Amino acid sequence: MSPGAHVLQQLDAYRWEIPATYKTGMRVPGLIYADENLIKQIEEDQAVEQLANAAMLPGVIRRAIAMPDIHCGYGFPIGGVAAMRLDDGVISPGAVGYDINCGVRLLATHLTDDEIRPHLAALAERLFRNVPSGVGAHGRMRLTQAEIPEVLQHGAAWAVRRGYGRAEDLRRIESEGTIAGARPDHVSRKALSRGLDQLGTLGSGNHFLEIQRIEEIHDPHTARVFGLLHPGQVTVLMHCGSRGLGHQVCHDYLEVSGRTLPRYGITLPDRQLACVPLASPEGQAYLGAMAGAANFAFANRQVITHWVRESFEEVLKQSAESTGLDIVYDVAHNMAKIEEHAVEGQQMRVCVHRKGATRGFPAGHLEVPVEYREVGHPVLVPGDMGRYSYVLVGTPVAMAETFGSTPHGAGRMRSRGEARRLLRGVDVVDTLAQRGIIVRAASRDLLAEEASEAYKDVADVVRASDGAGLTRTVARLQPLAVVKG
Amino acid sequence: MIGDGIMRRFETFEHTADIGLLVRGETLAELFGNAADGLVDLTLDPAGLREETRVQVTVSAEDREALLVAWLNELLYLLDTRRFLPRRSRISHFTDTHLVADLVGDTVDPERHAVRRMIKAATYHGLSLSQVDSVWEARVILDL
Repeated sequence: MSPGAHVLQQLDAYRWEIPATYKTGMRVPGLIYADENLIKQIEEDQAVEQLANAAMLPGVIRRAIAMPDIHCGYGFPIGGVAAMRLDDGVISPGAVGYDINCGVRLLATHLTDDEIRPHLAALAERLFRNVPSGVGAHGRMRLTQAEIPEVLQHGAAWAVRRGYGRAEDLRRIESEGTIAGARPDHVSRKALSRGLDQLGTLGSGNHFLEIQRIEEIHDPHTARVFGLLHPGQVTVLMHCGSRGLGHQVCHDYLEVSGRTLPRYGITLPDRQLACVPLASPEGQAYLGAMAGAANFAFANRQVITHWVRESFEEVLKQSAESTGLDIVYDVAHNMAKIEEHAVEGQQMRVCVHRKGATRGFPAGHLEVPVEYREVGHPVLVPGDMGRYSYVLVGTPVAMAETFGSTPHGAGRMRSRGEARRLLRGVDVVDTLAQRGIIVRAASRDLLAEEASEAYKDVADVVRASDGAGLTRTVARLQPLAVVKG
Repeated sequence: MIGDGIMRRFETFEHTADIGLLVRGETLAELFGNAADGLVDLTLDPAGLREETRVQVTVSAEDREALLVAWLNELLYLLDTRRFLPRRSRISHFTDTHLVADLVGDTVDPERHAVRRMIKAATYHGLSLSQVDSVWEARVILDL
């Protein structure tokens, strides 16, 4: 049990507060959204301490917030949210994380699970070949030195302009697939060179590409607006980010932040939380570099989308358009974004850090695509490869309490080593195959680290989030075939 | 000399989302070399790496803890940009803020190598580097 285990004060069935008096240096309280069952697991690792540390960041507004999938990360907890004032607040590269704009994209098809089942093995194999993943994989395209700043500037729009995708794709991506204000000139030569042959690659770890079926629709009206029409409908979900380019941007700016902390008079309990004032030259440079890396991630998911469509065309021998494969939505869950929120009755622009948290803007918000504005945009919450994932929608409660933030996944329950020990002698591929789930992985031996047993049940996370009023469940998706790096 | 039988040059420790690397060495230069071996071992089976490419790298940082993070991230940079991983790393010049290393290794090929997992980065979280009973020991959390 962590040292912070008994510090939590229960406010209601789904809200637990870390008082600002818990640790010297906390500027605001911490608030964890969870139910009684999840909070027990949360108390067992260092996540509570990490959230208390996040509450020490200068300029943090109202409270440091954690989603029900909070777990121990490096520095800032995974599942953490912190909004900063623009004038005297900071931006922390560590609170965004190495995988800048790691995110999730969902595509919907016109196919049913019965129609696709005979082709599943071929599709998994084709996706595995067409979308490079794992150690030593390199992209199928190599950008030139002249092209890469363009990718960083324009994101998914660059990819669509180059023929990777459809013009209408962009409307259904958070921020339309392009974060404004990207400054490729603030991205190091090293970071740029890491991106040259990584566009269209999945990575490894918990990143995946999954063919799924809708298992259950909970909110038929909202689901219909999202193009999720009936149980059995086939969808495709992908999870990946900005690859080595993003990792290098984070490393570079952690170095810059660490070096400049004394100059700005900032002291922190964890070096990984290193930050710089938003208004400083270093803060502005990081914002520009981060936006570039985020755009690289949007372009990455866009190129992968194109190759998913090509893979379906090659196997099913019909055009991707007739199969659908339309983007439902694309959300970022490792980002800092300048957004407008109501703070003490005033609308103000703030910088919202979300690390392992998803933006979930509700009905009526102007940043929700027009076709979704009457219901809010989809929130995509992957579970694990053996169970299910969720489509949710954000609410006015989230807007009022969490700066429009919602959960991002199941959250790990067991470390990788524990998962391997627990599943020693178990062939994860065979076990899932017996349940009708095909898995194609670059590193089959280590799949135990990503098995269901390593993760909390995402249904518990969703129940707590819905219970707290942050989200509403729209549909649940079940894996049919999983491609892993 | 620290042998595997007496004291392990590197081992992993548990962390909820990521993985911890515990590294030892009789000197700091040896510890840094062992850290490289630990990183490589997590990424793929090093037995498959040939000694056919030589690379020299120079790394600088604010202090020696940050130098360890920067060193490991430099190796990840080489993996991303040149698909290179070292089979052997020799630190030829070492100060608290600067090192020069001579690496001998291979171009990673998933067809030829038993790949394990991709490490995103070495982090500063929970980072430590200290000398205990004449042995240097470091702990570093790797983001996966």
